Amino acid sequence: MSDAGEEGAPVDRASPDLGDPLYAPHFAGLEEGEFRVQRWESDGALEWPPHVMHGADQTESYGWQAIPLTGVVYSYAVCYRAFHPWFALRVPYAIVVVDTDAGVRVLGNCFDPSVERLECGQRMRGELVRAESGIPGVVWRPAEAHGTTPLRRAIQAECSG
Amino acid sequence: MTGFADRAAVLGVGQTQHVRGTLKSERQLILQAAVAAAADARISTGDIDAVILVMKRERPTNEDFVQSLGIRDLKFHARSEIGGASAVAGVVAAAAVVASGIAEHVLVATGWTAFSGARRLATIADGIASDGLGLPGADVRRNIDAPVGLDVPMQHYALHANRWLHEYGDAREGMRDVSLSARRHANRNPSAYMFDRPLTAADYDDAPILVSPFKIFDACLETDGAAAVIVSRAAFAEAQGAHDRVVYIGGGAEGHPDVPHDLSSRPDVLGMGIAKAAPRAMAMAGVTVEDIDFAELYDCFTFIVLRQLEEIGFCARGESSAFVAGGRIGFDGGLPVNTHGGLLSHGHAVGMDHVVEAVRQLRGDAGPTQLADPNVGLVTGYGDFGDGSIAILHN
Repeated sequence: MSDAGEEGAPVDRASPDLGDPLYAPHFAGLEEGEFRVQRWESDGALEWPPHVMHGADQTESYGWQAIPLTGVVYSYAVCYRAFHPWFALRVPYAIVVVDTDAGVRVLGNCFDPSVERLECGQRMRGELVRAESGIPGVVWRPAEAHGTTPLRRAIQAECSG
Repeated sequence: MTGFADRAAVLGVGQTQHVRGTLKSERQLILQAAVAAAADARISTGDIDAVILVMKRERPTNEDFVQSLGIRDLKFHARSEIGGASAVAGVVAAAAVVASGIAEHVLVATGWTAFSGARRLATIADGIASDGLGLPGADVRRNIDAPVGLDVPMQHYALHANRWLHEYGDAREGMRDVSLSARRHANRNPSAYMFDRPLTAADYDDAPILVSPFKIFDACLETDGAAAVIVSRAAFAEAQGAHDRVVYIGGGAEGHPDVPHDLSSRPDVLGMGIAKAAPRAMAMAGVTVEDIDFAELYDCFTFIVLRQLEEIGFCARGESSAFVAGGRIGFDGGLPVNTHGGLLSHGHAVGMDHVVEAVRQLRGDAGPTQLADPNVGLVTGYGDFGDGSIAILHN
C-alpha cells in the first residue's frame, strides 16, 4: 500500500530494521504468514518484544513460537492527526495494543470504520497485511460484527429490558 | 533524617526567556542559564566544581562547561538521561554529591530549542525527528512502533491514558481543570509564554481531539529556553546569607517503572516510577503529603498531572479529577500546582523551571506568582515511558 508523496514519489510506512538479528526470525515468520514470538527455553515463557536476556533468570537461550492473532483490546490510541506521511492519508486510524490469547501483547493498527468506537476489552482478530515495499504488519479488526460489542449488547439489553 | 536530608541547598537559580524562534543554539541557552544561576548564587562560574548533565543531548558536554564557565577544577560530572525526569533527578544527584563532600557547588543546567530546533521542522519520515526525541528502547521503536505509526509521545501516553480512563472512568473535567489552572497562573506571570493569552472553558471544550483523549490544550508548549540551578552545601548557604532564606533540599529520589523502555508490553501500563520515588523522598525529608504547601508537577500533559497526584498519594487512583475540582490546585486552593504556569502555559525547559519556581516561592521572591508564606514544596519530573523523580524543598 504505497501512496504518492508530494512530488509523486511513493510513500510507504516506516520499515523495520530487517537486518536486526534479534528480530530476524520474527520477520521470517511474517513472510511465512505467522506471528512468531520469543520463547525462553528455561521456563517456556513467551515474550514480545524480544530481548537478548531473560529478565526472570538471566538465561540467554530461546526459540520462537507462532501465536494466533486473537485477543482483546488492552489499550488504544485513535489518531486524528498523523506524524508520518503514510498515515496522514488514513486518519482517523488507531494504534491498538491487544492482549492476545497467548498471553503477550501485540501492537497493530486498526483502520476499521468503527475505529472511533474502540473499547478496552473488545475482542479483536488480527491479520498480517503486507505493505507494498515492506514486510507484513498486523491489522486488527473487531472480532464481532460492527456495533455489537459485549458492552453494547449489555446496554441494548438494558434499554430494551 | 536520612540520606542527604537538609545537607544541601539550592544556592542559585537562573533562566533564559521562553521564546518561539531563536538563532541561539541549545548550548548557548544552557550556558547563559548557568551564568545567571551562578550570579544569583553570588559565586563566580569558576567556583563551580561539579556538573550534572541533563538528558541525552550532545551539547553542552562537560568540557563545554569547563571551557565556557572558566571552571577551575571539575571534581565530578555525571549525566541523568531519563527524559523529562532528568532535571529533578539531576538536582537529587547534586544534593548527594555535595552531602558526600566530593564537591562544593554543583551546576545542573538544561534547556532546548524545542521550537526552533531542526528536529521540529522535520517530519518523522526524515528520521531526524524520531532520533531527536531520544526515547529508550530504540529497537522496539524502529521494529514495532514506527511501522504502525506510533511515533510521538502523545501517542505513547495515549495508551496509558485510555487504559486509565477505562479502569477508572471519565476524567475530561479534571484534564480541563488542570489546563485552565495552568493558564490562569501563566496569566499572572510576565515571564510565561502565555502571559497575555487567556484560555476559557469553551476554548478548551471546542478544541478538537488530536490523539484520543488529548486536545492541543492538554499538551505542553514547545519553546526555546533554558534554566539552571547551583546546589551547594546548606552550611555554605547559611553562612553566605546571599538570600533572605536558605532553600534546603529535604529529600529526593528517582524511580523507574517495570519495563521502563516500553509501554505496550508493560504488565500494568499504569505503573509509574514516581510511585516508587515519592515514598523514598518523603521519608528522607520526614514529611507526608499533608505537609506539602505547593507542588510543581511535571506537566507534559494534563493527564500526567492527574496521574502524579494519584501516584504520589495526594488521592487514590481514579480520584484525581475530583481532587482538582473546585480550584483546589489554583492559587488560592489547598494545593497550588504549577504556580508559574508549568510546561502547559509558562514554557518548556524540560522541568528545570519547576525547580526554579519552587525555589523562588520558598525564598519569597516569586513576584506576581508568590504564594502567601509557603514552607514546603514538592517538585517532580516525568520522563520517557514513566520514569519519575521528586525533590522536597523547604525553607
